Amino acid sequence: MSVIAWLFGLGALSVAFPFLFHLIRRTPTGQTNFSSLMFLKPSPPRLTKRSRLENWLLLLLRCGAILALALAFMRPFFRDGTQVPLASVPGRNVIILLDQSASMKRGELVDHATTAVKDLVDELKPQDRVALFAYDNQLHQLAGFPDSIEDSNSANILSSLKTISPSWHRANLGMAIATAADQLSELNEDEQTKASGQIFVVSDFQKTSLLSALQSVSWPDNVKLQAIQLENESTNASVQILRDIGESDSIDAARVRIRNSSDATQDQFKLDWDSASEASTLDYYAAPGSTEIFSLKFPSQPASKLTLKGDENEFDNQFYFVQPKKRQRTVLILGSDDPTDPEELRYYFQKVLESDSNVNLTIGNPDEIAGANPQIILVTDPVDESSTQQIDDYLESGGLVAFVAYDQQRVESFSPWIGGDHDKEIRRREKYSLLADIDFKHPFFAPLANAGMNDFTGIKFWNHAAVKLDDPDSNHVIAGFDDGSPAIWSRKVGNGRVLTFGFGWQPEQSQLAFSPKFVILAIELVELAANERDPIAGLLAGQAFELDPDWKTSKIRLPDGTFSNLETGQARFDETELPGIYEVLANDKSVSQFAVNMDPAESDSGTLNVEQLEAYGISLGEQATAEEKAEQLRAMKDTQLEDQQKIWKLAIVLALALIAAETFVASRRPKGVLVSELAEANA
Amino acid sequence: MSNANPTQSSGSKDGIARSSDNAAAVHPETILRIKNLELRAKVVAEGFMSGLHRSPYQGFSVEFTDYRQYTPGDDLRYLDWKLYARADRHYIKRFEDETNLRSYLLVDLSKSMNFGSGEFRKLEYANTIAATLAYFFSLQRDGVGLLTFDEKIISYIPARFRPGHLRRLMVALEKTGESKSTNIANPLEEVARTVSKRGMVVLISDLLTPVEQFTKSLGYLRARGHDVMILRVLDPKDVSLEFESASMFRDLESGKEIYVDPATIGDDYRKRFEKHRNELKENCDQLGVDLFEMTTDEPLETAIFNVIQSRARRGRQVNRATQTGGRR
Repeated sequence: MSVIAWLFGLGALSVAFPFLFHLIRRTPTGQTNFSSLMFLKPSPPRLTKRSRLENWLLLLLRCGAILALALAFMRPFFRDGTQVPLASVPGRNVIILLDQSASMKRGELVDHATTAVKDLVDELKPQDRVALFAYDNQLHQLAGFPDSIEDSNSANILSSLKTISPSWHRANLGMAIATAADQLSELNEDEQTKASGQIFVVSDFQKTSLLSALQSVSWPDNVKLQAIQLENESTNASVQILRDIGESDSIDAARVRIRNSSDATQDQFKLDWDSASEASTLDYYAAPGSTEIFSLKFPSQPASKLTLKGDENEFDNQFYFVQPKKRQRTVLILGSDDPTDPEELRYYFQKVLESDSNVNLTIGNPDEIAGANPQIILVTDPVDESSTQQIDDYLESGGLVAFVAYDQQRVESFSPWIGGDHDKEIRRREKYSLLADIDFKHPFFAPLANAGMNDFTGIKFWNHAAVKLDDPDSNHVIAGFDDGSPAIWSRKVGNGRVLTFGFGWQPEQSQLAFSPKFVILAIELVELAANERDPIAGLLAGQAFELDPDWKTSKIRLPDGTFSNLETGQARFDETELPGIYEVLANDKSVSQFAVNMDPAESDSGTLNVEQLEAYGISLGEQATAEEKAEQLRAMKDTQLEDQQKIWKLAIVLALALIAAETFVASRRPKGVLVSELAEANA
Repeated sequence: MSNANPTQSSGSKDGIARSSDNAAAVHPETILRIKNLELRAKVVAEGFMSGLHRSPYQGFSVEFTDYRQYTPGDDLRYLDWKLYARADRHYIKRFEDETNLRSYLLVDLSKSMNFGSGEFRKLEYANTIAATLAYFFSLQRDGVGLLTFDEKIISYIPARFRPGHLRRLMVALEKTGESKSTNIANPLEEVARTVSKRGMVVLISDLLTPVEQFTKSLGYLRARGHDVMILRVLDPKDVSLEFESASMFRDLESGKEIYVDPATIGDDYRKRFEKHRNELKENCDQLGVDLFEMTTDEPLETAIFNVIQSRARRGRQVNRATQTGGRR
């Protein structure tokens, strides 16, 4: 006979109570209040110590009732001899995801991670199959699932662990988890097994890990995720040169940001350019948990690296950059506006660019184009036929012409270049229009792409041109109006480019000139003409570098000194694995440089609350092993058997019968026995 | 009622027809069901007085006694103007006291009085006696004082006869003490110390305390000229120790517990109780203190009889003393 709830068997120990009550010393229990004890003296204490059992029958009946009750609660049943063989229970398919993002370079995280993976592999049961993946911004398979349960790939996993070293990429935890979950459910579907899926994530779980990929994941039912969070006791500070927008001194000085982790013990750092002659002697202070931004002059010698000194973790203490060079830009304005009249277009444009010492502003007529050699021509007045040729020539030579076509007259005048004509069908909004569909990826709007800057709903356009573009494919609409007409668009004309504004920024036309965004857009327009990439912004490790076909690049020198040969006509270079300066070479001559840095998000030492993953529908925890499952099955079977046999009912009936018998026997017992017992004991 | 008054030999010699009164007496259980103490006292007193002969010693009026020379500061209300007219001298009239008897009821409210084998406790019985006596004395226009005590004095109300005084006494009687013992000597000495005029002192207690503790104090009281009377209130089981089974006996005052089997030690108890009772009686006889013992199953009127008889006896003595010129 087996029982389900054997703990209730402890209740059977209460049979000892009837015996104990029978054997212990009996003391008088009654109490009588009395006026005074002054005439009383204590009687000899009437205490009896029973050393022998009396009323055996009553005692046995009571003990029997207790035992029967205990038996009923234990829910006894008889096994039918069938077993649950362990081999018939499916095991687990386990994927171990090992973080190898840049943040794992901190302290001894890699050692901790490999130890954790080893422990996991050691704890696996023979029924489990395991695969090891490493992830940063991509998922890399280190050891796949063995073909059958009998094969073990533990040795593979352990050997692949030796080659693990963190990359310079950012961790895309969401992508890694989503892919692993997909793999597990696919494996189950392919093999038609009922094996449960288990994902172990061994990581430092940075707060900045990318999780967006999880939003589109429908989590499979039989997969669970267990997070193994690695503890890092070392603190971290990082340095970064920020991209400056519209500040004229950005060529002489850099805006440097030092971030210090909240648990940091040191708050004083030194900064060093790689031109060793000018080592910094100043201490820079960044309190734990704070971010300090300050301006730092570039050294007189060209530099390409800024190093932070005094930090425990070295991996993010270098920032690479290509120092910007001073270049003059010439802007030619073709228009007759009064530059001193605030009601006119030019007043605002000129005000912005006058303050920039790198910009030469020339106001003239089309005849001066050849002499001025401008980087950009801004056309604000209708062009007469005699000037058409000059503009065409300039475009053919690869120049940039920006047309401000805010009314029908101008649209019609600029129509040879702007790729469209006045459209009568467009119905304007009654009061004003707003900008819509802005392409923030375009360099013109890129500086305004951040969350704090990208709101254009406050800028109202009272009037604008209604232009119908002839060929939408050859025109790139950078921004449109909410009534459907294009607002800013660009197109190639000859070797040059044409940028058209379908509105004017003067107060009569719109509120744009009053917006701080106008300053940025005006500067960007000039930068657009220079056709240069922002050297400071550089690239993050893993991002591709767009190659200019004009360079005819043959190879690129990597930061470690090796060369990467390019195929003819290759437009992108994506082997930016290492942080540092990459040099673009054409016929062994340097044509360009670009800097690659680690993603600053990897410097953040804040940790992610793993329970946050549950918000994406992920089921956290560990799946039962085959043995545990077998045990659960066995228990289920036992419960079924017990439920069918219902022996507990018999035990309850027996207990009731015994209690009835006890009541009967006790009632037959001669009364006054106690008194006689007492008298006997007293004597 | 043969044992109603075992220690008072004078009771049986008295002319009052007690047997007929007792037959008409109401059982204490009935009386004590009346919640209001004052009402209870009235019922007992009226029941008692309906069979009482008119006594020549009750109802003293305010009477003139003599004159004395006026001294400045005396109340001019009592100046005899007629005498002044006749004799051209200032004399103050002197009167006899407003009451000729000041009685003090000393009631034991200790925890031992909380014992009761029947439906009520000794305390309720004693309170009813005290209240009845107070009411009775008030009817007679005598001053009544009250002193309740346990280990120490709980409340003390000097003897007065004035409206509302009886009410105060009743309220004081309802108070109980919390002490763990009884000290009878204390209140007796207090009365001896504070009451200078001769009067009557009635001690109502179970006197379950060593006799020698309070004998000396009784002596003081007697020495001050007070009539002292003890009404000893006992529960029938205090006397007989007739309990059915053995159990832990708990002292109501000290909380001490001992195991007692009444069947085995009953005789010994009664012997010791009797010894204490005899000792008490001897001491009282020596001091000239009237000792009446009553158990709570006896009619309450008995108590009043005892007091009246005692007063009658004393009154005669006092009267004789007055006639011989012994004025207070």
